[in-house]
Amino acid sequence: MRDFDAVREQILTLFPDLRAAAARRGATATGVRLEAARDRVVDGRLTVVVCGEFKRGKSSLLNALLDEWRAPQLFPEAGEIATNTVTTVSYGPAEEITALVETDAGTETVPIGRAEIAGYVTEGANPRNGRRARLITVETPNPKLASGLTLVDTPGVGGVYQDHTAATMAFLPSADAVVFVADATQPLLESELRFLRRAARAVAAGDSLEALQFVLTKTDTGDFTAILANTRDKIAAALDRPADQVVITPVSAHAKRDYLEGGDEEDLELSNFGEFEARLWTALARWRIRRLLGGALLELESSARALLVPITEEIEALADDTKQRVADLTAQAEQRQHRLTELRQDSASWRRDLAAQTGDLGRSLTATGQRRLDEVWHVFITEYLRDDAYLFHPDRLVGQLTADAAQVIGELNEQAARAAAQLLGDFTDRHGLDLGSARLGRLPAPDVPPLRFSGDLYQEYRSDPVKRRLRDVSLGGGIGSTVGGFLGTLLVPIPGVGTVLGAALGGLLGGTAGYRSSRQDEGRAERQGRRQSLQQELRPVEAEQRRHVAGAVPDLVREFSRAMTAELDSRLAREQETLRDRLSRLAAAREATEEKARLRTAELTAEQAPLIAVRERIAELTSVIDG
Amino acid sequence: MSGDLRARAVAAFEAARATVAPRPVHDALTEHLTRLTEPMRVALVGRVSSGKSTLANALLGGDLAPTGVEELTFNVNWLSHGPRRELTVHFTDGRPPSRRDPDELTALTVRARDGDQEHQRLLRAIDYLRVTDPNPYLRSFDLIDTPGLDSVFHADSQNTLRFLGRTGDDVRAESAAHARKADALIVVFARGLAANEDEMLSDFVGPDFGGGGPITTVAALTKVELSWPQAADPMAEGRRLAERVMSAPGARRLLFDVRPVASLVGSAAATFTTDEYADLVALAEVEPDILEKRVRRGPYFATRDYDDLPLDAGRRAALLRRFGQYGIVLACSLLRDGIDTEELLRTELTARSGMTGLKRLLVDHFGNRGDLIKLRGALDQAYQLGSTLDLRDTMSPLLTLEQDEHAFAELRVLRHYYDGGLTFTAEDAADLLRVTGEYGTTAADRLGLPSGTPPDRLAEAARERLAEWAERDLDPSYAGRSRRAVQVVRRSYERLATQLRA
Ligand SMILES: Nc1nc2c(ncn2[C@@H]2O[C@H](COP(=O)(O)OP(=O)(O)O)[C@@H](O)[C@H]2O)c(=O)[nH]1
Ligand SMILES: [Mg+2]
Repeated sequence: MRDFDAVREQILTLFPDLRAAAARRGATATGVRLEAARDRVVDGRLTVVVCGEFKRGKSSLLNALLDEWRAPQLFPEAGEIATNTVTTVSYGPAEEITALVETDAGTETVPIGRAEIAGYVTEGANPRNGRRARLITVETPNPKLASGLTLVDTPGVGGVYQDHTAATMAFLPSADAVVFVADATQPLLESELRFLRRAARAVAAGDSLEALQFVLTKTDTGDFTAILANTRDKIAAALDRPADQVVITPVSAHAKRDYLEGGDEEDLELSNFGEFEARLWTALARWRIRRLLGGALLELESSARALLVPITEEIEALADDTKQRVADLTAQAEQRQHRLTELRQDSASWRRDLAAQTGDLGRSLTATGQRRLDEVWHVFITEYLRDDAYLFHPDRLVGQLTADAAQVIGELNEQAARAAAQLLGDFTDRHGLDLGSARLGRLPAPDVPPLRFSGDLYQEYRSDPVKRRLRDVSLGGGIGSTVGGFLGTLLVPIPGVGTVLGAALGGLLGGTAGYRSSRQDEGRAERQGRRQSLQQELRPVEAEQRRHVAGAVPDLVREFSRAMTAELDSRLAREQETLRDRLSRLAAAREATEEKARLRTAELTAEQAPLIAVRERIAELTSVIDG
Repeated sequence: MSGDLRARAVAAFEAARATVAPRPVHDALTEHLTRLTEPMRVALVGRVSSGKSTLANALLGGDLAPTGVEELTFNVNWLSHGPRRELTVHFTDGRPPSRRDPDELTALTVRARDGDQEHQRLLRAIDYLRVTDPNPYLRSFDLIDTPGLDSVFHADSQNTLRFLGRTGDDVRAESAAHARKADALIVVFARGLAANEDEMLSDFVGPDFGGGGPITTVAALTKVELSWPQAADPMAEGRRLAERVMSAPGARRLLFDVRPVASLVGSAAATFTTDEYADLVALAEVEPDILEKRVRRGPYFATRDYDDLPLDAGRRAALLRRFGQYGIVLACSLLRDGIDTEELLRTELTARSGMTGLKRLLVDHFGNRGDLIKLRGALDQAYQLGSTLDLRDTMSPLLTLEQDEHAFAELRVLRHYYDGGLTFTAEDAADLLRVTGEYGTTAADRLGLPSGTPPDRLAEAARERLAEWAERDLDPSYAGRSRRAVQVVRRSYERLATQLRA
């Protein structure tokens, strides 16, 4: 964690110099890209989703992680009753808490105080979610969140809060780390293992499996060696992994709180939060941090080069008094200018190529989506219908199927994001659009940047995108899409995509919200009869899901395609700017007298020194996060 | 009165049986006859590891059912009263039952460890384990401990097999099958196992549990001791939760009542040894704040050496395993407050763990009406025989029995009351429960008077009640079913008054 903070801080210190240099040189496009890249680091979210069955201690774990122990708590702990909404917490300069509440007319966001949270999120104060809070978003000046951590507390994996379960499943694939909570006072139940298998699949669709972390809570209650081994064996069996590869961190939130309250080191030791945090950050570092910080370094590097190349060329040109060098360089630049003019045209062939490639991506995602739904509905027949817990609770059954389909959409989204990043990289290489954004070390392809560009400049750009995005969420499409849209904008880095994802999820939820089986109250009809009629009755639900997934893919792909095009156009704009600079410098160099050249060279050497130094720092930091 | 009912019932079933040739109806009736003379069967049902076995031990005051934080009870344990502790294994594959050393109970009950194929095969062939024990509590009814109601998907049966030695479906099916065979259920909810009350209750909806209703179902809310130290008084916390459960929609149609229990404390209370008592006395010497601080750090309490704690870590570990954190702290505070004998501590801990109350409830609710509940079940099953065959002659003695026995009319009124079908006031309902034997079957119990009340005072009280209910019979606000119910209660007091006059 401290490593991440330190590297992040150091990366942030590189921006002001480069931006000042860009401003001096009138390099507007470079400056804007730098600003955007800096903001991506500042706003960059590392989302950690905490999930597990009700009352396993998720909320307590998060309080303890954030050193929150004074009442009123940020994540109210449930003595007798469970949390019943999703809560997200991230950094903000002053505490601001918002509840998304369902009303008769639709939804409304209500600013609330910390003491009111419990009233909205726990069953005790809000039985069966009578106030119908759907989401709590918290911004708070907690230093542990300052580097961009977003923590997500989820209700539980059971069937009561269907849309929360569905939302959780939809966003798991894009989470940067998922913490699965088991409980030292309660052996893992089959229902939890079932959830775990799904979660593992969702996580695998995005990140490497290391993003899935396991904790055993409540270890203050007694000797936990037996239950730890039992839990490890069960998880290993459920995920088909060797037991020695399942790392479970035993923790005690209460011991941590006792430590915060009383300061006794032995409590801290027992809490084991040191180890928990270290493992969490290792998991985050493995992929997400590399991409987040790697993307920033890449942008710094290409900006530094964009600023540096015209200077080094000018120095080279001035050094050759036969003027041969300046002629060569000018010819190169003019040739490039010619190519660039082609590339910037609307008819440029890369645009067609990109359209074709994203078309392919869309088709392959559509096929994947339908195949995944085949699996879901296969499981419905072979497993769910054989399980009394579903057979005699059709509402739970529908909730589960909805969560399964939501997970499919989440997986598709994450696959689309990965594919888009990859595509952008390959595409850049193939069409010579690289324009100086050389790959750095072995860093992964960075995300497709979230912002849209139009022409040479960014559209309105604000540095507090989360809040702005929240306001932008479309409120059409019912409560499901609103919840989905909110979570989407919070948890998915690309705003348009988050909204698409949210809307797709909402459609899915909306489609089954009113579902009540006619068999619901029928009591004790025999199993075979129920199976048959449920199969019959749920056919429209399946068709609906297939329609939704099929409809969501083109929307997703379109959003990614727009973002990619915008990114490429922006890079072209920056290169145009650099070329103009190069050509005018070369023209000046051609005219320069020997005396002038000497003076100018000294000036330029001084000017390029800080840029070279910045590039050295970039290389050093690259090896730190690459290492 | 109960004895009379049983005799009349046996006579009716014998008369019914005499009308048919042996097999199959004859045999079925014979089976019902046997059941009538056996104790009532009460099954413990609930999700896996909700604390059913710990509760069984706490109820019986012994280590009859194997327990442990991670163990999953794997086979059904049928506990009944007998002169000495004996264990008999019953098989599903037609093998004759086989007698085993009672010490093998744990090995035969808990899940098989990886690898032991032979043992797994044996476990899978077991239908149930019959354990007899001289524990007096088992005189009231047999207790059936079931593994649990969690189901497992087929795709994972390989994995699950490694853990359970069989599939979860089997476990659930077996638990459910034994629950169906039982006359009454103790539903076990564990604090913290469900999201809310609806969820808790919804586990018991479905074909396996549909029939019972409050007359034959009570619930225990277990593991309430785990809310310590969050709650200084976990039992009070448990009572609050129990109230919430009972106020959930539908709860009163499913359950008679929910009682919170600290069952680990209860089972330790029933079984602690003189050595353990001495260890507790030693711990009680420790400054309460220090003791609490040390106990809160459970794993360290059980393993580390501290200058401010007596006993070596191994002894402390044993106490922690047996009593839990709250149990230790509670026992020590009782000892500090003047409890000074093993027996007193046992009694007080049993009461404080909620076990005394739960036991009383079970005896009252099931024990007092045991024969009637069993008979009701037997009649219903016998009528089912008649639904496919023409058995009018056979059914006639049974129908007559049902008609003549006022107790069945009372039972019907109770059902209607629990179904919410009566417009009774709280006061009416209290009378109804009392007079039908909820709190005991003596005349004094049924009139709500202390035992030892002189007969003339009892007769007077019965006449007073009768007069009140006669008045209600004229009250136009009771209509339809409620009015018929009033008449039944009125008749109950009439019978009581007659009996007291005699
Ligand atoms: N002994 C102990 N109890 C805990 C700990 N963490 C949570 N609990 C208790 O477990 C219950 C559920 O906790 P909560 O955080 O609300 O669970 P959630 O539903 O998963 O968020 C509460 O009664 C907590 O007091 C812990 O570290 N030790
Ligand atoms: Mg919670």
